[in-house]
Amino acid sequence: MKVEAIDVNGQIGRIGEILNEQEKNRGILIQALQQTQSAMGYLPEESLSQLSQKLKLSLSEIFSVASFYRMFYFNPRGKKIVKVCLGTACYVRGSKKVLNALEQEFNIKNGETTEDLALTLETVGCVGCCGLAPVTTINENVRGEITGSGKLKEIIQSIREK
Amino acid sequence: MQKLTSLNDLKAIRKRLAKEGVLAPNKKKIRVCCGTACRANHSLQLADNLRAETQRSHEDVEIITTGCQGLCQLGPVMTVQPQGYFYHKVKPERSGDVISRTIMGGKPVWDLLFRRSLGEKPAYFIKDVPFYRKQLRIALRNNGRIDPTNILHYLAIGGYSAVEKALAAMTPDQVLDEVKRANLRGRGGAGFPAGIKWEHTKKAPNPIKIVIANGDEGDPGAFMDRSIMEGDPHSLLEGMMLCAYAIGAEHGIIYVRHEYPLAVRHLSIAIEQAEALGLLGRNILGKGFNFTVQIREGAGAFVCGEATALVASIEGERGFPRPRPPRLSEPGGGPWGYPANLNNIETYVCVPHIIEKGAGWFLKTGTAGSPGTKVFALTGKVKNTGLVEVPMGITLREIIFDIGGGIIGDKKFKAVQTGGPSGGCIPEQYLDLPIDFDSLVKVGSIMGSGGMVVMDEDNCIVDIAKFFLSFCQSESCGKCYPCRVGTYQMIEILEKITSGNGEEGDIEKLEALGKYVKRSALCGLGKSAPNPVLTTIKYFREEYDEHVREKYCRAFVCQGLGQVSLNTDICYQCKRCVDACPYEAIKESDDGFFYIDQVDCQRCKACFAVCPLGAIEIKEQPVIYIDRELCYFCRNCINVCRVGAIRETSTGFVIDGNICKKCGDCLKECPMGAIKYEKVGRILKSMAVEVVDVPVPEEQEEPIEEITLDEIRKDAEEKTCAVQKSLTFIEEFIAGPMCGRCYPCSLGTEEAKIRLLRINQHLEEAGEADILALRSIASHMRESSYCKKGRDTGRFLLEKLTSAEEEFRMHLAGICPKRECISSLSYLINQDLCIKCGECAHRCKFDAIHGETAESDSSKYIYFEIRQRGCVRCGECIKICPTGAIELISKVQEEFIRK
Repeated sequence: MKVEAIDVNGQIGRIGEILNEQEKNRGILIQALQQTQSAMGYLPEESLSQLSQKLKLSLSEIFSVASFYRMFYFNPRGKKIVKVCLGTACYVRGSKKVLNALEQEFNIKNGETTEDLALTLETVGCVGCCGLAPVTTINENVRGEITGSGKLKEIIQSIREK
Repeated sequence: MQKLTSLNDLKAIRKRLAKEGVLAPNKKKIRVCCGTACRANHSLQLADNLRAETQRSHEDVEIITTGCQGLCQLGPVMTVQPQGYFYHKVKPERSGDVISRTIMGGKPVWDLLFRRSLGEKPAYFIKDVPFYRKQLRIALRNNGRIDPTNILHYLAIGGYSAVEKALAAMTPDQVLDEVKRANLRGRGGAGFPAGIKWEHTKKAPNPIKIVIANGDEGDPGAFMDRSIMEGDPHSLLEGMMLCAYAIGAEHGIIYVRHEYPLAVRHLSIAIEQAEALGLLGRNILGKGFNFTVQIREGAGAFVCGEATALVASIEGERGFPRPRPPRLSEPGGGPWGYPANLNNIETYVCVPHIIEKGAGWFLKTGTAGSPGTKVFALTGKVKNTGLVEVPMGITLREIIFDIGGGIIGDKKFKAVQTGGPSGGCIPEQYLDLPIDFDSLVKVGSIMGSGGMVVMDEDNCIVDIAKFFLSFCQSESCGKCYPCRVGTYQMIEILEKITSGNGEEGDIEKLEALGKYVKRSALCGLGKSAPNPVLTTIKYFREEYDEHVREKYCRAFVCQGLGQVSLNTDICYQCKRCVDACPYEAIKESDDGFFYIDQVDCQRCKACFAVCPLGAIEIKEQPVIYIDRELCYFCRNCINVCRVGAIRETSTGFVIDGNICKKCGDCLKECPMGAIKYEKVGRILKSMAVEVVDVPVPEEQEEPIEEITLDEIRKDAEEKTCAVQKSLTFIEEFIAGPMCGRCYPCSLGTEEAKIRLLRINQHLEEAGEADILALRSIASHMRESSYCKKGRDTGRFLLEKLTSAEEEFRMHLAGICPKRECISSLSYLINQDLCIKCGECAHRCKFDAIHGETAESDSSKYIYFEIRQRGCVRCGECIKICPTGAIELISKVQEEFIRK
């Protein structure tokens, strides 16, 4: 979604009735950032400065908000985003091993992207699938109960394909 | 869908649905769980397969994709109506069996029924499964019954009838009273009564109010809110509507975590459908009540679950909490300054029941202080993990052992962690505690959002505490110091303990820090962050002690603790450990067996994990020490030690326990058997206990601080040299009474110390300027120090400088007239007195004395001499010399003699 196409009034919804112009612009900032990111894959500086003009907020304010929240990225990310859950339940059932194995397999550290932009490896607090611990998500797909090396290989396979 | 404009319209649509037989009990239907966990096990494909099968067989079966049914571990689960068979672990390819056997034949598919063990009879129906038997579902009642994306399902099972009842026959005050009477306590953690919160908001003078549902369920190990939002979004909307009606609000916001995309999707579908039916919007059901709801997605910040931070996030700011008051319910508190009522998802979901069935009905379940039920996310090392809704007052034992089915592999239960990262660990002794909001607080934990993580003997409690704390630390927003710095320091200490470098007193430090953070942090996150550490120290102190003193982790989790060894009796040389070891520490000995080289071993325990036979053993670290009675200083051990752990001291050889890897090489090398190897680390423990018992701390330190200037003066006057006197005085003043409050004193004394040392050590750069500088520092201090201590110090220095100016100048020339300053002195052997016995050369540790002992042929021997470069003036040779031949001579004199 292009930054110009963001509709402030449409985004803010009915609650906009009780807000002034500045509050509306600020109120949709996080949503606008989310949309920009889902369209571009990350937050390029160019889009942020466009956003700053559109929402009449200073670039530094936008940076301040974007850098606070964990889901915003300022660098390009891999095509596949693999998130290893390190929530309590998964941790207790050994998700640290899964992370270590993936780190070794793809030779990147947690939070890094491979050079060919194929894969980004991350950890997440909890995906809410504690029943299937330990859990790893590949893009939006949840893979659970990664206990044996067989299951791990399966996951590495599915990360590698395409 | 046609818009409903009156209460009669709503009644009419319900009648129509009943007539059409939507969700009628006698109709054939299959309810397939499509919660996130079952989706991960391909339940969507299963539903598709079932649909295809029904079309092929021309059966009239309704396939309903429901929200989470609770038993996540055994997914995908499904119930088949009208018989009510409950199937688990249904793979997509089994859909044909379900259709042909159960739908067409009316018989159960035997192998899909739940059995506790092979010998037992299977459970046919959901009520027979032990996991569900003790549960009472109020908040989760619709989860698993309806398709969350179809509002007609919700209407067909009586949805929105609480709103109908409220709009038809109750005033807002009556709704509020009912909730208050039911004593519904907030399910988000603190347990604040919802009715009182609502009343606060209602009383706020602003005409515009906002209803907020907090779906930012960030606690790891908790997923009940997600299940409700995914599986029963309309109940949440209905609860929020009732709240809005009671407090007079028109706007609602649901704040959902970014990590829950399915919840966002289902909620937006639900809002869309409710708006289309006229159940949300303007003039709802013709009763003049307006209410709209919007979803706000979070962006991955745990702290935004805190009310004030959530408001900041809604406004589009950084998610920083702020001090309260104003509370959210007060003017200026909520988003954009409007008063707002914020409750947890689960709290709102309970409201429609209370309104529909009355507060009296709600009060009948649960305990007196905490009525109703609570949803727990039972996870960790239990056999059946999943969502559990139980009446308050049930014991932990019932939840973990009856519902959860006990610990995986029937291992020993260690602790249960409730309340997420902010909660605490509850040990075995409290398993029979009836749980409600107040009882959990009493044992140091909290109800929290309802996460319940079970741990067994394989979990290290220190590691778990570190895990929770590092979660809170990484999620700390960084606004207030106690949380930002305090939690970081606590992790540093825990890191130290778990890596085997713990010291005595670390645990006490942790406790003290934890209490500071708890008392002084700004928001709930910070205030509760030390909880896991404090409760685990309280209940599992011995395990902490074991990490610190014996360097041993009984759960074999912490890397760097314990000693890893290979039992050659069991080992069959499969070499798996050799491949697994990242440090190449597993080596082959001459006789063909493998052994672990303790010097290279980093105790990562990778070998322990791969060994199929359990030949790798982890034991407490042994203690190696040198028996000084036997040692005769042959130095063999020093030569053989690969890590340089054996040091030579003035009293003998010592093994540095921090460096020693316990490889045992020195043991073999010692000819006297002086190196002892104590296998059991407990000895250390008993020794350590003695050390602890000695009351060292604070009380003794205080008198040291109270050293008066008179005492320092007395010490200083004992020296004879004026420079030494001044230096002693200044050094002791800095170490003792100086407070560092004013500059003349704090900076002046440091500078004076540097200048004095320069003169004392006769360094090259020492010169006239130093004496001038000292004089000006002293007079500054005398005039402008803040307190008498500082002024007196200045005066003392000035006195010395004036009275012994000549002495200072002589020091600059390298002469200490009182022969006290070591640097301006040298040791010299007076050849007239020396009897050439050689004692001094033996005694000198620094090899500075050379010469030959007297022999019969007196013409050949070399004189004993002290090499000044090696000499450190330790004085040992003076002590040993039988004739007093070693003399102290100032450097200038020495040069003179040499010439």
